Amino acid sequence: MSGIVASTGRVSAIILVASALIALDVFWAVDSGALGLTLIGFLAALRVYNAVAQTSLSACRVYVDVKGSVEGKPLTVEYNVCNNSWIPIALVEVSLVYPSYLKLVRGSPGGLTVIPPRECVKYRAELLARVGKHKIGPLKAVLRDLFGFFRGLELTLGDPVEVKVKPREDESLRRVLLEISRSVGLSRARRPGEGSEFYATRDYKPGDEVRRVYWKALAKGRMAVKEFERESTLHTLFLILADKSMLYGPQLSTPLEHIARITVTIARHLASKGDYVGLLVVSNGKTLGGRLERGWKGYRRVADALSNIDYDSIIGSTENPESGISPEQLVGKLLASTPSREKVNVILINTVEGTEKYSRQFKKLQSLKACTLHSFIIIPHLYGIEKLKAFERAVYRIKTYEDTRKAYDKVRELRREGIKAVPVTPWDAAAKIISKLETVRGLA
Amino acid sequence: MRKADSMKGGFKERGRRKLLLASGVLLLALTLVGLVAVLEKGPISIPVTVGAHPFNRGPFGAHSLYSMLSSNYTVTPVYNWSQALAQLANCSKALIIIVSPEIQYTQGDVEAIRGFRDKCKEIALIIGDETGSSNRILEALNSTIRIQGALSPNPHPIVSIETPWGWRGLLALDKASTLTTKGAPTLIGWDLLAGEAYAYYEDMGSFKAVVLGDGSIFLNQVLQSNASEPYKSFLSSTVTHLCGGECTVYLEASKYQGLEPMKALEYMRDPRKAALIDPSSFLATIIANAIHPSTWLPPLLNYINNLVLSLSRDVSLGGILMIFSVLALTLMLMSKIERVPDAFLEDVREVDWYGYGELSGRILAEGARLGKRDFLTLYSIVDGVLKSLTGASLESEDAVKVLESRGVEGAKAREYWRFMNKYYRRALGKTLWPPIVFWGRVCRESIELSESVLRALGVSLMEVKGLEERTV
Repeated sequence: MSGIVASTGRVSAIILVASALIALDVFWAVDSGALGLTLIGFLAALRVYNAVAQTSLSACRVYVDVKGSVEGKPLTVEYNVCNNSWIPIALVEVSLVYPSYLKLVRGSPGGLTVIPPRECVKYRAELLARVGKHKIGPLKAVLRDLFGFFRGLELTLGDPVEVKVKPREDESLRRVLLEISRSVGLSRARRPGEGSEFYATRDYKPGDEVRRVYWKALAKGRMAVKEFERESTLHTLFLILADKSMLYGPQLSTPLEHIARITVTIARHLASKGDYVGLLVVSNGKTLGGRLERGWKGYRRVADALSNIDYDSIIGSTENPESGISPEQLVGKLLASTPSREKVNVILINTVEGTEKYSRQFKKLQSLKACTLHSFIIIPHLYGIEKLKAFERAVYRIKTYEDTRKAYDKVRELRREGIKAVPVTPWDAAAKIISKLETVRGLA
Repeated sequence: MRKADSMKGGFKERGRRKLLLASGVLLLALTLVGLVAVLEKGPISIPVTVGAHPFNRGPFGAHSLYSMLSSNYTVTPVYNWSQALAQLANCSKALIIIVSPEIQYTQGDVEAIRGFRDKCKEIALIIGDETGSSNRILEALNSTIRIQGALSPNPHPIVSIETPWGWRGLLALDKASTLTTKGAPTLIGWDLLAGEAYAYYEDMGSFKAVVLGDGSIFLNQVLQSNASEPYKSFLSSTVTHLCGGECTVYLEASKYQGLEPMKALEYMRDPRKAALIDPSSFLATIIANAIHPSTWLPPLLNYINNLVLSLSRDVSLGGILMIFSVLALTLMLMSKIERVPDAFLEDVREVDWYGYGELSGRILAEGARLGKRDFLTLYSIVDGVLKSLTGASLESEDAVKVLESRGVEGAKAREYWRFMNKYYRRALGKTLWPPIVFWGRVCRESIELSESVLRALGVSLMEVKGLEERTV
């Protein structure tokens, strides 16, 4: 029983006072011995109660509930701690364990409570949901008493809960994508061919089918035929080489989260057009997702893969690229997830640091014939600028201008080394990617 | 694995310590309870045997007799005749030996000895008594022999013994008493000089008795002396005759006074009285009393109490003692208490891996300090935008025309151009005018001016989508 409850420094002070009272009584016949003994007796009784309450606390039943799975929305964590004994448990200090990269938006990370006998108490906190897989909980608990004389052993209440948060689709981004790609229907190649959408008219050539003759033009004396826009199907694989540099930035505005939003929004856009879409995430030598699927199935797989990104794995990754995935392994993973007959557009969005780190992998991917690599390098210094006011934004720009310029210089350097990468800012990345895809579609 | 092993070892060690502590505390508590209980019960009273007690090893004891008989027979020292009778079962032959009893027999004792006669097929009696205390026994057993009780005027009579079982010899008695009889027992011992009767033998069938007017011949001082042979021989032949092959010997042990230890201690001072005391029982009694809490605990507590009282009268000494006792008491109480710092549970420290988070936070909180370097950066930004969009450098006066062509008011464009270049040259050290420059203020003003100019060129320092694409 003694091991589960320990005393604090206050007990020493009280024992000193009690000893003094007893000694006064013994040596100077002051009537204080009874008070001294009462104090010691009180301490002993309190200690026994704490030990009993600690045992009851360790036997409490805990029910955990986590709600919310969309990025940017509250992630509600609820712990119900039920005291099954007849002993009131007072006081219990609790503290929620959650990843340090998550932000508590409502509630307190900890607090003090009393658990009445045969009753339950509820602890609720709201975290800001970030895309990826997170481990939340358990609830740390320590028993104290009202006077702060004793402190129980630290206990964990409940088990950690794994939460998967899907990226939020950016509506403004979707509108931009629609503007760029011109339609919401099936993909068109901006070239005449087989299809259902009218493309243009041209002069009749012998051999043209009669049903294609453009009668309105014929009525005006011109022999012309209608041409239809060729429908095409794109095979797009998003590749995310996640490392620590992807996590730099304010919450919800890190490159990783931004890339996740761009990826899921573009994936939805492509899925609505019936294209093949997939996502391969490489983090700390491990891969996630990868298989190309057509339409909505592909979109769902992309969203699932993004919600499975493990932050802890990224944080724990080493700076040495050789300890991660080798270029050959990456190519192997990539080829395994792509169809052999179709050329796949690999969209690789990365930071400057990530691109430097994985330069060998980049070059290897560029040399592949089975796919076309489209690399986009985002400039991380600009993330979070939207949180500042106008004048402050100008000051921030001036202060970070040198670093931003250096980042662009590095991109140029990488390009000179043979890595065909396009620098993008947070606000033009999606537009540039979809433009590139639409260009490819047009050429197909 | 090693860590787990060491942890396991630590737990075992802690468990062992706890076990030791618990058992130690329990033992201490039980000892205290035991001490108090023993104290409550009072001092033990182991009497020091005096006189012809079978366990008295002193000169006047009868331990030699007991030892002698024990080698051949079953000998039971009788402390209570009633209890001895109650424990008696299947008695065929019993021999009762009474040597110089010092306490009178009660009616209960007499009834019990009579009960022996009723329960046993045969009963024999040897009495060596000069006091006459045994007469009640003889009377109860219907013997005709009586001990006069008055000591003979002859202090050390030489008695001739002639027994029917064939033992003959002379025995020197000590202060003896003569015997009388109203019947016809066999005289087996008489004074050689005066002819007085000192020993009779009476055979009544199932009851036989040998009575001597002196118990001294059964004492250690005789049986352990160099001239003990005739006495032992007489004793041996008498017991053999009375017992036959086998019998149980009951040796009187109830009629001798026990001495309290303190009294015994007084006896020890007198050599004559000391001879009465059994030294081994005296030693055992002294030791038992010495270690008994009733002997030492109350005086010890009393001594401590007096000491504390006397010390407390001295204020300075009392104060020092009080401090020491407080410290000792506190240390003693605290030594067994496990202490931990009273720290709150550490909450999760949220982190932002925000490369420029600190700068951003500082700007948000108090605004960043601006200096000459920042002005040069701003100049470089505007220059870069102008060059990329119009081909004109900000250093060149052409920039004014370009700005005018892009919609900036002429006077404003010129003023901006002058302002920027004045401080640009000052920052580079090309001019010393103005001599005193507050770069922070200059920077703020130049940012405001530049923003309006840059907006005319379609870019902005202050918008989210700024000018990076144009400048870097």
